[in-house]
Amino acid sequence: MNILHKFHEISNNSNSYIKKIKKEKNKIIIGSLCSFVPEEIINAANAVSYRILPAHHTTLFANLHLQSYSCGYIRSVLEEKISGRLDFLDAVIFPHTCDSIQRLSDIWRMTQSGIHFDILFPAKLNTKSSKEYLIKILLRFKSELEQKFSITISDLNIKKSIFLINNIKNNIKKIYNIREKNPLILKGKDIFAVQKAGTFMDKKEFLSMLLELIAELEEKFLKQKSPKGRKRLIISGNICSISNIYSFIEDLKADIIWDDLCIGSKYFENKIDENQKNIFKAIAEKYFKKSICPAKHLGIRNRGEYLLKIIKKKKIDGVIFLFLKFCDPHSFDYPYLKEMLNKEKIPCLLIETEIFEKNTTRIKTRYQAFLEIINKI
Amino acid sequence: MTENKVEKIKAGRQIKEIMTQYYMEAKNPNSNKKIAWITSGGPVEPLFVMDIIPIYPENHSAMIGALKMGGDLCRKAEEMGYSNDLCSYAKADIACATINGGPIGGLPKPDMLICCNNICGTVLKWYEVQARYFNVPLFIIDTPVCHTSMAKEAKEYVKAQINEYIKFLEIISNKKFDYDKLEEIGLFSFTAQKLWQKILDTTIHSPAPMSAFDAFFHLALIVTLRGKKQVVDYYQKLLNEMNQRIKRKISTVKNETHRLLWDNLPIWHKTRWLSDKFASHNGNFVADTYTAAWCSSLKFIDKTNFLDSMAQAYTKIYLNKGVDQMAQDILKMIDKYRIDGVVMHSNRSCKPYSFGQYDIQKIIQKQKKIPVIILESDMTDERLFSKSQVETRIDAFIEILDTSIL
Ligand code: SF4
Ligand code: SF4
Repeated sequence: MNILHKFHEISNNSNSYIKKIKKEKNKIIIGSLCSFVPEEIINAANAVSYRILPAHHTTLFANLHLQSYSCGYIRSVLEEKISGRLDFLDAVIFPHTCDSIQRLSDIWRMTQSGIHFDILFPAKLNTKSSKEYLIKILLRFKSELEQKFSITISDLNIKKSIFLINNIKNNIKKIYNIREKNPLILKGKDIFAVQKAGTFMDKKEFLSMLLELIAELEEKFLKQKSPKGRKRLIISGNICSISNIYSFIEDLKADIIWDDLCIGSKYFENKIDENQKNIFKAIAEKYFKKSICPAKHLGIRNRGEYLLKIIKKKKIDGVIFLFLKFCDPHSFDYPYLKEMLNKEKIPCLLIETEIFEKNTTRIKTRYQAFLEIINKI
Repeated sequence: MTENKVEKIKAGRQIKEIMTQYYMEAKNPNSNKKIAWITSGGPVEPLFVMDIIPIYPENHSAMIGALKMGGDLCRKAEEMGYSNDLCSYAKADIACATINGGPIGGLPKPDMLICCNNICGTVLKWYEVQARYFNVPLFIIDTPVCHTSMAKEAKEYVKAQINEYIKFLEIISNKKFDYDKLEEIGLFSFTAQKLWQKILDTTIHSPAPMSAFDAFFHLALIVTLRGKKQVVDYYQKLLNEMNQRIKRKISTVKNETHRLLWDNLPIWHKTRWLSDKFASHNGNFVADTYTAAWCSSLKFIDKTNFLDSMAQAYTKIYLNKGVDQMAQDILKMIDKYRIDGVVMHSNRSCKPYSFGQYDIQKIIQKQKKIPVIILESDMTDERLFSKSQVETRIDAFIEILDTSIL
């Protein structure tokens, strides 16, 4: 099987992949709800961190616990759990991000079985005391993990995990860089499959597949000329659940060549300093470097500034904001980000979507109109 | 069934005067006092120590809601790009700031913003918006959620932030912080909260001398001026009046047959309608979780060492704990106030208050075997109120209550 097919295969069948490695490699599987999860510690515990992504099942059971004005993501996660489709998880981590995850954690603890961790990340990531606090709660998490699974997590293993995960991040970035120069080399839906696979795969296996993919892409890159006249877009928001957005855009002679998503660039841009002696301090500092999650505070304009920086650096023609309806942190940031872009005359489009966005023609028309605007500029 | 006398609460007039005076002082262009906008659950006492006037946008938004100005202001915020699903307190405030709208022609401009996220994550984003708009310093007090308990690490973290807060105020006011004064103010704050709890507890009597709708109104002082002697005096007076009412068997409802509990923020634009509606069916809200939240952490305040107890007192508040603990609190209230039925306002604006209500409902029904209804609406945005839907639900609820006493 060609390596891309393999990525698609795994990414489309996350549950069966996980069940298989759980059985074959005897791994502990730890589910998590957002990117604020110290996967280096989890990996060092011989466990696999499985980011629970939105599924596309109707949320019949979850609706008995959560109002219709909760975001589709938390409803989807709960539905998957109640329906037994997450039974392979040995534990779930609820990192404190938004009000919705906070309440989901409670509802889960009260009504569902299984091991449950809350990692109460600080909301502000720019002070000395919040860093000290974070270091302490990371240590607490490590010892809770050790206790719950009767294991020991050595510093050496954490260090090794940091190397491994940094290596993964460097390589994903490499792919982004190749794509940015020639987006036709790897289609959007392919990069999405890679990103998605990265949210739950065994780290070592993921890295070796990445290396294989990069070798292929580098070869292709030398042979294939970069296209002319295509527009360059960036996507910003939360978990992208409509993977066909990429093909829609590509059909319109444009490419999403970069992103501001937590499973995309936000993931690989934040790395841990390998030279820092105190490893927990190093892990904590990763979150303080450039937090670009809207649920966290690092400053009042840092997300906008970050976006503009990428736009300039990558010569972006337009921005698509894509996030789930009822997502407060993203909804609060959108007006100011849009204003900042307007000032710089960068066109942008907002797509607020449900996890079940069936009406794709509605969205398609909006992309078309958006690209017409960009083309006129 | 005996009919009770119904009389208005006299102290009401005075609270209006106090609030008007408070806003007038804050809006006085000749005053050289600094203004801080602060979230409703934020530690206000240090501001009084520094002679800074605290302003509560949430209280202002509640006024906007009560005066039915919320829909228009929210629409304006939506035109600015804010999604219609965001908290209407925040939206009303954000819009109001740009046009000096609302009942008092806009709030006085802040010199600083103090945001404590013990009530929600919304305030963090909302205050970021205002920090950009007014271009003033923003101080955040981050109080990690106590899902089941407050961890040692969180205690140390919040305590460190209280010290940072004081430093921040020293720099901005260019003067030293008077720690003795904090203890004095802290004692007023503590006493006011104690009195507030006593006032709320007068409704243990049947008929109750007041209702939750009265509490929503009289709450204004504990929210905005907690720490001032004036508040202690006012609540002492209100408590005396309540005790008098108990003696004279004066209630807010003629025949208090159904003793009810309200959960979540009021529906400000419909309080009159709701209170009349329930009263016409002999229902009286004798307790509510919202006004009780302002004394929910009393047990953590050390009145002899206010400074050191602030971290816990401000972190372990009602909205910052787990849904299971919230349910336990409600169960206790049901016993304490001898509640016959619960009305939960599923408030589209307030996710941390509303998510979990379905499970709390099940717990109450199972353990107390009393009816619980959920009314979906919004506290400030009158566009989100469907009268016919709410009315049908209330009628069905009353019917169950009526049959249960037959
Ligand atoms: S989509 Fe938004 S509201 Fe939902 S869990 Fe994620 S950050 Fe929270
Ligand atoms: S109503 Fe709820 S979401 Fe809005 S500011 Fe208050 S606590 Fe926060």
